Amino acid sequence: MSASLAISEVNLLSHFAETSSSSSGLGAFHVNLKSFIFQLITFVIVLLIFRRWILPPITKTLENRQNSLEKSLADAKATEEALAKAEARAEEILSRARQHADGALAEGKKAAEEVIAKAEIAGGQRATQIVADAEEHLKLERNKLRSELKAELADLVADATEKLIQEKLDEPRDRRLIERIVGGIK
Amino acid sequence: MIKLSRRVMARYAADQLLAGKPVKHLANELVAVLTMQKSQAQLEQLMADIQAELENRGQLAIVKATVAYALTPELKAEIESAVKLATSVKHVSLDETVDKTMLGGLRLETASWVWDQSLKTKLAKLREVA
Repeated sequence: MSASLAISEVNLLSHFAETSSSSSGLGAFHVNLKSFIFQLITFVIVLLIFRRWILPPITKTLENRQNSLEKSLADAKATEEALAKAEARAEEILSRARQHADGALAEGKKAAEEVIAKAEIAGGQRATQIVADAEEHLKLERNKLRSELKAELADLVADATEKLIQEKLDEPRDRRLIERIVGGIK
Repeated sequence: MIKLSRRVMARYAADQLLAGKPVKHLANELVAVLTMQKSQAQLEQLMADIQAELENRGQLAIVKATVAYALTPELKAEIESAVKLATSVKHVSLDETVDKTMLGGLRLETASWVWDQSLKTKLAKLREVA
């Protein structure tokens, strides 16, 4: 259709060139009509050629590039969105991991404190037990010492008494002692 | 042959003595029985059993008195009197033994009764208590 249109325009221009003279219209501008028409025709041909064989590919290429760019933009946007989602997800995971770590740390701390407290109690109990055992041992030693001292003292007293009796108790005194003893029987 | 126990023989001897049987005659009988039973070694125990039997019957108590110094007659009489009260017997025979190791005091012993108030025993008890 574009070719037929161009041919009709050429016919119109040729008719116009034949009917016009050098002294009017275009001749006043010192323009060579034939050359002008030839150039015009050439231009139209070039235009036609351009429109027929050059422009479409270029247009197509431009369109493809446009599409490609739009697609790239869309992809970039999608990628950006995916990246944002991934970052959000990562942040969420990190947050959970931090919470988990904090929880584990708190539990560990609590468990350590409990262990320390139990150890302190056990240590205290053990110390109390050691003190009690030591006191019991001291008590036993004290009683043993007391018994030994008592025995030694008794021996000393008995020995001293025996010596005293041997020295002091004569027959008259013994007689009086016996009289008291026999009085006890009665 | 029936074997007589010492207790039975002691009862018999006590009965005979209280009945007034001569001591020599009774002694011969007892020795004969012991000889037949081949238990002459039990003569000492038999004598102690007879003493105990007489004491239990309230007739006679033979008192062995151990002292550090010899007893005076007055003291002996007091001792006999005290033993009569303690054992509830009619007659008391005092057998005195002087032992210096007693230190002092008195020890009285009958067949069934012992009363030790010697200073030696008291000191020994003091050592035991310790």
